[in-house]
Amino acid sequence: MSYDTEKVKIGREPFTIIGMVMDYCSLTAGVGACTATETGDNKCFNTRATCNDTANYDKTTKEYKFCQPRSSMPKGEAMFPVIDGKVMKAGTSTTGGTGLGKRAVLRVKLSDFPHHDRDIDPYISERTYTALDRGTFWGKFLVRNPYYEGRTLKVYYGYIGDTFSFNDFEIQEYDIVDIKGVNNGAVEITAKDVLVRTYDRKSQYPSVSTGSLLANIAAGATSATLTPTGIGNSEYPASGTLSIGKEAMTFTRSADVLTLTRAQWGTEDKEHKAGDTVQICAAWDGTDNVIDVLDELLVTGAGLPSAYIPTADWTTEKDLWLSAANVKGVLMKPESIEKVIAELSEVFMFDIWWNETTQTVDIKALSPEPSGATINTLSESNSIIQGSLKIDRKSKDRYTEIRVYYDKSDFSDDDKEDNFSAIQISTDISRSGSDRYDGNSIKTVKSRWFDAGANAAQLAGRLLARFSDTPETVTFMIDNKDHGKLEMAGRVELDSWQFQDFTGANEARKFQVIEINEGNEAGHEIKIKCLTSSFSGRYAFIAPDGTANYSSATESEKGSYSFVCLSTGLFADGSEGYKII
Amino acid sequence: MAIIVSTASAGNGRIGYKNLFTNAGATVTASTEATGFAKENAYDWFGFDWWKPTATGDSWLRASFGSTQVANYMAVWGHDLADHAASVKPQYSTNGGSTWQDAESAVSPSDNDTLLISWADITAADWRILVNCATTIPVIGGVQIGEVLEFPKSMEVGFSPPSLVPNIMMKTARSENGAFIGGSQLSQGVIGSFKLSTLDPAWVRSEWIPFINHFQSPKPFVLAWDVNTHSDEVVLGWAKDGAKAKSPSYSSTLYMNISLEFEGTP
Repeated sequence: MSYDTEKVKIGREPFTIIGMVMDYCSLTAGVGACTATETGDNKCFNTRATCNDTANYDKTTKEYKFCQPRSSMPKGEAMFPVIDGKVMKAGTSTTGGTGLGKRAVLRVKLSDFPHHDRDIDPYISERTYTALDRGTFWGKFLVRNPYYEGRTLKVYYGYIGDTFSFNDFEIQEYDIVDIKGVNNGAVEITAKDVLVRTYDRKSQYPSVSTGSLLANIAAGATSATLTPTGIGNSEYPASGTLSIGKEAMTFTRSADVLTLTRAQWGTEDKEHKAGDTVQICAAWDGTDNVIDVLDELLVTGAGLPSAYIPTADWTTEKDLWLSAANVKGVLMKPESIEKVIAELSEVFMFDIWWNETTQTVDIKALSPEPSGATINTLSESNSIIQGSLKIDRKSKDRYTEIRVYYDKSDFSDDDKEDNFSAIQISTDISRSGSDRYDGNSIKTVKSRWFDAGANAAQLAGRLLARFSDTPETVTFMIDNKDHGKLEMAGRVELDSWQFQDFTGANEARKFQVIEINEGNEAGHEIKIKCLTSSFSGRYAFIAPDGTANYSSATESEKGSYSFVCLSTGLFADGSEGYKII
Repeated sequence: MAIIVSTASAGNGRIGYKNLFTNAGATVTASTEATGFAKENAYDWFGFDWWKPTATGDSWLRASFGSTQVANYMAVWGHDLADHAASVKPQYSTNGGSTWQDAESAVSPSDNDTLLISWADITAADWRILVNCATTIPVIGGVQIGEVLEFPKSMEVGFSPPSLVPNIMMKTARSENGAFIGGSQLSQGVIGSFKLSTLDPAWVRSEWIPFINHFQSPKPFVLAWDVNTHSDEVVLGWAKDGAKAKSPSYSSTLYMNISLEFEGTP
């Protein structure tokens, strides 16, 4: 059996397992590297909180598994059948390339129960008490494992079949953020996707610098000395950008002595006093692609393992849609990484989300689906669950004019309009006319992350192309058999009576998936949220050399490649010309 | 007019709840135990841990006493004997374990449901379950050997054997245009209840109340409602969460009624 073969069966039995991956010492108390001398009831439980030799504590992990109580649960697998009710999940959601979405949140209630400590307490035979007669599982667990925050919570989604293997489960990973209880005989665990590590209280970028000025420096001075002695080599790079007060400077460094180029990034050359903090800045000069900046923010800044970054996929997305998305800007003081990523997402138009299943941070640029791309159809006849499809038209998210403020003047100041040197305005006058939407709907974007008009024009153009008509958000449910037809940020076509043409006939529509939620009926149904996908117009890739002219090209070529049309905007056969985005 | 049956017929229901392995004075040993599958797991009443030997062939779990003990049943639950083509049988020794006799013939179950094997009373100081497997090794979640509680009469009209229709929650999905597009099931064990009326109050006090004390502890039990004609309809039961056991009631000055509601697993 496998997840994919079981999910399509009638009579499948969904089964969810929770795994808590907690820290655990690899050593044996009082043996080898562990010098603890405690005996009997005073021995540790191989956790940091109970450790008697913290200097030699050797952290590894131990996974505790909990499952739904089922009479058909697999026998011989070490897991406690104490999941109380459903595993509640609110899935991660994206915005369709207009900012950071929501983090996935998972909540699960696990019943408390008496426990004998076997396979948990490695020194059970040396205790003078009977563990089953003392306390409860969670009471003991929480006091032995108080450092659960940020540890991994795994969710195994699968089915009970003829055979059992964890390999047959789809495994999602989250960070534990909270455990409530023991209350009313249970604990409630809350976990979120790993992008919570970018939250303000978790991580900021750049990190706080601890060096300060040894002596006053006057306005225009080009040399300064760091204190305390030695901090230059231990904390500051050989060169870069720093800020003192509201002034940004570039520098080179020799030991604790800085050579400064004053008043950078539009800031003002001022005097600074002894003791003022010398803060290292994160600066990007316009040669760094946003993909590389994201990597820096997530791996260097938020401390995500580099394995979470699917470099090849990111490079593909960069080459295809984000090649011109170079970042020019500076973080003069530590800022919330989440906030910075949200800004980058909005101004360079990409979605970023935690893929719980592949355990990667995925990226998808806002882009039209190329003609000819394969898009799965979900129909009212065999996929969309009855009564589940809801349409929400977001009239306030329709725009006839996009204003992009860019080229920030003074990076020490805020992002008010008058702190930007340039503005790009793109307008769709045909839609704002009295025959159509009869008035303007203006979206304003302020970007401190580029100074090039080309970036601003691209941002305004793509936003207008995407949101010139009222976008629709659609939610619906499907049976889990169709799970494989969807992927986050991918396209899907919906064929339902709720989408009709002028005559009332069904008219299949394309949408972009912005949320896939296993929700509370994992393994049985999935809740999907989509956003209007279509860009207005016709898009395709540049054709390779040797491709036939439009008039003699195949339908496949017309679907995949763009051709130059007549000055009327049409081809000779009357079909619409392609657009460049 | 109700009929009081003073001695049980072979087909009357039985409940196995007494267990020599948990009796005071028992010394429990096992032939072998795999890491993470301690022998204690087989008699701690929990359904989430298991005893597993390390070798194929014969393996055993033994309870030894300083004095003789009476036993007339063995129950095995939470096992996967059928998956491993394994057999089990109860054995006893009257010479300190030098030789062993079968209390009952070996059983090779065809499924992994709860087993209850009963026999006439045997008295011995050493009891054990003997497991035999050829190629792969099974796990056992619970073993009980002891004196069975035998009802003085058979189940009454209206009794619903709990294992006949397992408690399965079904979930189905219908498409927008009405087609059946999928279905799932959640096996939630069994739910059961029974009532026995016009019982001898002395039996109720001497036999039923001790069981109710076990039931309220709250520990599982094994119910075989008709070992004669429906010996395969055996379930492991326990008290429903939040439930309260019903007190026996007098139906007249001479007789009492009992009842029980429980949940469990086949």
